Amino acid sequence: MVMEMPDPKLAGAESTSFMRIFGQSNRDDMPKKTLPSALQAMLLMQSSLVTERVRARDNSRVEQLLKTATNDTDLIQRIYLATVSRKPTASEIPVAKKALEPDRLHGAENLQWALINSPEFIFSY
Amino acid sequence: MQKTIADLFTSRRDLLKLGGYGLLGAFADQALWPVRARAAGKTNPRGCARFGLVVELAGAISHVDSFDFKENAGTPKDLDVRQINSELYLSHRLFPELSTEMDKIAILRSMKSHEVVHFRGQYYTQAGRPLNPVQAPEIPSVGSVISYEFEKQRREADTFPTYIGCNLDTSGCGALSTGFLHPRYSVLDINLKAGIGGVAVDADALKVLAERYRLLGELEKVSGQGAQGRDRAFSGFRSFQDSAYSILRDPRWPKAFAITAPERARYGDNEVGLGCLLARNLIQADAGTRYIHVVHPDWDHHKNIFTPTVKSNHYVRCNEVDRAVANLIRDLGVARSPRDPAKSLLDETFIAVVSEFGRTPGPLNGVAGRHHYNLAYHALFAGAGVKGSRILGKTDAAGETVIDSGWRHKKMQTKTENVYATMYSALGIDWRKEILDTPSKRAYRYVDVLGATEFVMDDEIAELFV
Repeated sequence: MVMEMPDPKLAGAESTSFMRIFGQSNRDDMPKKTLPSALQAMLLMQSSLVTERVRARDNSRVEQLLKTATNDTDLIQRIYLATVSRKPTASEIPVAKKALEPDRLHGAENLQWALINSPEFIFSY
Repeated sequence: MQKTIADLFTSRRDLLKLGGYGLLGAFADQALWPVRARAAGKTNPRGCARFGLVVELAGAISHVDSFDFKENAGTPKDLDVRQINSELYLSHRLFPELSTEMDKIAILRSMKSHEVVHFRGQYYTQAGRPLNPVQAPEIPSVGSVISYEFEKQRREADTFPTYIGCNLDTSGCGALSTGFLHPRYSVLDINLKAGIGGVAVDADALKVLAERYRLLGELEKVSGQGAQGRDRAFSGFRSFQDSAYSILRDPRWPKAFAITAPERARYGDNEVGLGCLLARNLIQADAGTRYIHVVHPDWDHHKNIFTPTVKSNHYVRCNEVDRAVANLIRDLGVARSPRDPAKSLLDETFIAVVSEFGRTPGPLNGVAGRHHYNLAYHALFAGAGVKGSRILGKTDAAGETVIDSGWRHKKMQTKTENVYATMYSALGIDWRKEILDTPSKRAYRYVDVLGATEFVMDDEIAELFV
């Protein structure tokens, strides 16, 4: 049950309200569905919950992948697999590669963000 | 019981198959506005308001203990009722601030609802028509219709959503959807008390956001997923992301949510106080928002309506709405309109304070409260040329039945449909308009004459303005 999930890294009021906007049920009532809204989109784009998560530090997923990936293509593949459970398509790889320039770390964070905000992630995961 | 409409209908999927309409996929590539519409009767919308505001006292306010005051066996002795003008008696204990603003407010005492249940009553208040489970998935909220109507009036610089809600998620039916209308006309529902709303973005973060948004767009383009297979929710969300991106880049957005400590104290640190404060800021910003629906929850005083020790009682709730609405009226009243210096923002805003029904008059019940009562209750109106210091309509001595509507149809009680006909009229919208492009092919009329139990008159309450 969503309520019993371990708290996201940044606990507190922000994560509570984040979960509420995405339709977390409360203890008493039936699960509540929430309409998709611009507010959800705003949160996914800018809430510190997301922006901090995509950072390459504190042994985050992005940082780990940066350390273990053998080259750009490998890094891109691993980020895709970790986020949307699939390999990138042939047309996605060049776009992603371009994003890794000039700053690889920054680019990796951007890619991670873009995948979290992609319709595929939002609707399938 | 926090049911939303969506929950109700997943269990009635069979009913939805009626007529073979599926909303999924039907509107993925629809043009932004349905094109087949017709006027179903002549109207002359006033167009006297740029902004509309509904303050909903959800759970239902006791009318005989507030704006249709009737002394009876249940009336507490400490209400300090005073005479405001030749006709109006108002409790000073409950409404000290509004008592000084009644010259801007008209009270309508002839409301009647066919509903006695919160879920259905609050649905009625948001949709402007009775709940019909078969049709409900395609019925838009009034705010979404207004958002659709005002789409053409949006300027290049407008980023705020046309329709903003405050605390709609606390209402019994939740925030209603756009129905058959495109999801872009959806409400943005804010809950200030729970800290949901204003997101501020600094300059560096904005640069990063711009980079990322661009990357998102590029990946989208090459992702190879075409328009087919994308359902409505999907393309709707894309438009939400575009709106979200514009809002996040607009410095006016966090400013609208910046609440100083003195303001918070003046309006009250509660749902309606913060909601009215946000409404004021949004109206002043004029950055795209034109219609706001604030919900003030917890008026459902079945028990202990006048007991001072319980957290929510009539005193507490009345004081909250009193401070919120009075200060809103004052602030809007002194703010000059940037469009016409001879007018104030109050002159450009049509305000309606409504409730889904009233509460039982007479003596209190066995648990020191009042139950639901639909046969008589009231609504308040202000702004946009509404003549204040007025009472329209009359109930009998006990507050149990409406004996005079106070306007054109003297013998008929006023319905929520009339309230919204007036709102549409004030905003310059033809409320007898019908849209024919609905999934069920059943015409959607802005104000429907088919009430739940009887035909309703679809007239606006013109008498408010003369």
